Amino acid sequence: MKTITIEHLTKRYGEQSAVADLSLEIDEGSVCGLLGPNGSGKTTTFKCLLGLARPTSGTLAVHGAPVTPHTFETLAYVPERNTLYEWMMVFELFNLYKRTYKKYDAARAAELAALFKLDSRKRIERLSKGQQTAVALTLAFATRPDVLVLDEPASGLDPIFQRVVLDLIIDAAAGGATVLFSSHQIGQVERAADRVAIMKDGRLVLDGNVDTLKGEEKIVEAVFDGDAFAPNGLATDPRVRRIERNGRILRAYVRNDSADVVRRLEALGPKAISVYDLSLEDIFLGAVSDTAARNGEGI
Amino acid sequence: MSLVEFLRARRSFYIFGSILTAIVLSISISLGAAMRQHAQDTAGPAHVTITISGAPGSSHSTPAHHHWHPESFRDLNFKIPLGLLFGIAAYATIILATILGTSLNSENGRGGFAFTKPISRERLALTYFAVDAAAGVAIFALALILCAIALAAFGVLDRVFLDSGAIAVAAAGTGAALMWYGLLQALTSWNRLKGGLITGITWATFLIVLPLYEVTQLGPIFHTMLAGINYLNPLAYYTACSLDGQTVAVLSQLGFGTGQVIAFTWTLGIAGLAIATYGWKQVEV
Repeated sequence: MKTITIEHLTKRYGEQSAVADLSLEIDEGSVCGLLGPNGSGKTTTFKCLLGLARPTSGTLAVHGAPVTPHTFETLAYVPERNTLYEWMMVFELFNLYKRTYKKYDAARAAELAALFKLDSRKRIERLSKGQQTAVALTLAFATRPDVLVLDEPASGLDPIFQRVVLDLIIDAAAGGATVLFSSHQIGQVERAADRVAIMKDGRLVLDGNVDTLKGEEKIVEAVFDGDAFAPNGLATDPRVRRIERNGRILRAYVRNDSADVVRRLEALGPKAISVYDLSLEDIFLGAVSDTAARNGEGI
Repeated sequence: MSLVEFLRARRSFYIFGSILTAIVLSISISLGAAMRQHAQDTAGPAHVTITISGAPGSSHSTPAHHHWHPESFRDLNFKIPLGLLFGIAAYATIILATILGTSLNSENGRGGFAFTKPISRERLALTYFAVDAAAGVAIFALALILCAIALAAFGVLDRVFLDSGAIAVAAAGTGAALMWYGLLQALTSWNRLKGGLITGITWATFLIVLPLYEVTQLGPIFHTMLAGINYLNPLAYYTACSLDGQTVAVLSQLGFGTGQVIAFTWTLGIAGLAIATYGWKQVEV
């Protein structure tokens, strides 16, 4: 069953298009990492999904229906920027959530506050950026949501708490929650997400299961004695999606039959040749890199 | 979410209430000193006797040369209509209303914290209005209590009587507070302007600029424009209170009677809140 459905979402601010014809579906219990360079439209997509911004066109739904105030009983959102009331104390925010949410779990909030080492008597303005993020995450997870929309959830956190956040996301998904989160830390997405969607210039440029995407291509890397070598027509090979050349190193992103590409490169007499699995970072960089590089122009 | 506005309004109430208390105390002390001086000038040389309470033996004598006693103030023959106290309390309410009048605006820069809660924006706005209204009632009551304490200190609290215009003055004064509150909400609920800045501009406009237009030569276009804006000025409706025989009446710069002031201020205030709620519903984060 689809928990989040976005169909042909377009959002323009005047003449500028923030999101262009974006379609995305996320299954129940899935963790989807939304990746993209700054200004690629991730936050705008979240805002449109949550009713914080009106889409220019397209439809968005959570559990098959547009978002209403009632939806937020089971949907938690943590924005990229701290939006907590800086003059409130942490415990006052906990009280606020207790009064606001039927499913608020005070014991869970206390457990998470202890996990993040939060001092509930402190004012929000007295907390570091990372601690403020921890408060926002504590509140979000304490509502026991079915859907979590997290915009840069580990922003400002140290590596230890980043790991805690990823564990919370994975744990929530294991409990049946659907998670849509954005991050600039590709490693975080690789660890937590089973699905990845990559945006560039407001468009969805790649979308799929992380393991499937990683298995679709191999990197064949050849190191030559000098930089005066010819790729021997590899750029036009239909199996080669992209070629990178960096001095004495030639890197080919190969679909399907990498063995044959290896043989062709061996014929050029390299010093060394290796075959790697794709990482999510490779997939991301491949998806958002310039068209010229993708097509191997000039090689 | 009512807790947010409750805490915010409570903080404003505490700060403004403290200032108000300090002002009333200062005025009372100054007035007491002035009356003592007056008594000194008229009673001739004597010892100063300050009565701390009505109990015998609680008086203190100090080596001074004149005599004053609160009894002399009580001897004066006057009565205090309750409408006058309501009129004073209404001004305190107006001031607090302008402090709280940008409560919806203060949510707009928060990336939708309030808008991602299981409460509709309309209900949230009404909740905020209700909490702010309660704060307005509280400050009205506090101002009345402070007036009563000051009058009691001078021993003339029993001179207060319920005049026939008291309720109307209270309705007109709180109407002016509501009108200003509604105007600020309507001006700021749908945008990210600095609420405090807009509040300050309205104070400057209503308290300084608009009253000046009548006495300065700005040309017919400016005069007409400012005269038009003056119809949005709560202080042009609720300009002052004056004694009219045994009762208090509202004086309006616009020439309206008390009944008209009540009708216009409440209507415009409620209209402002309706516009503000509609605008807030449209806000994109």
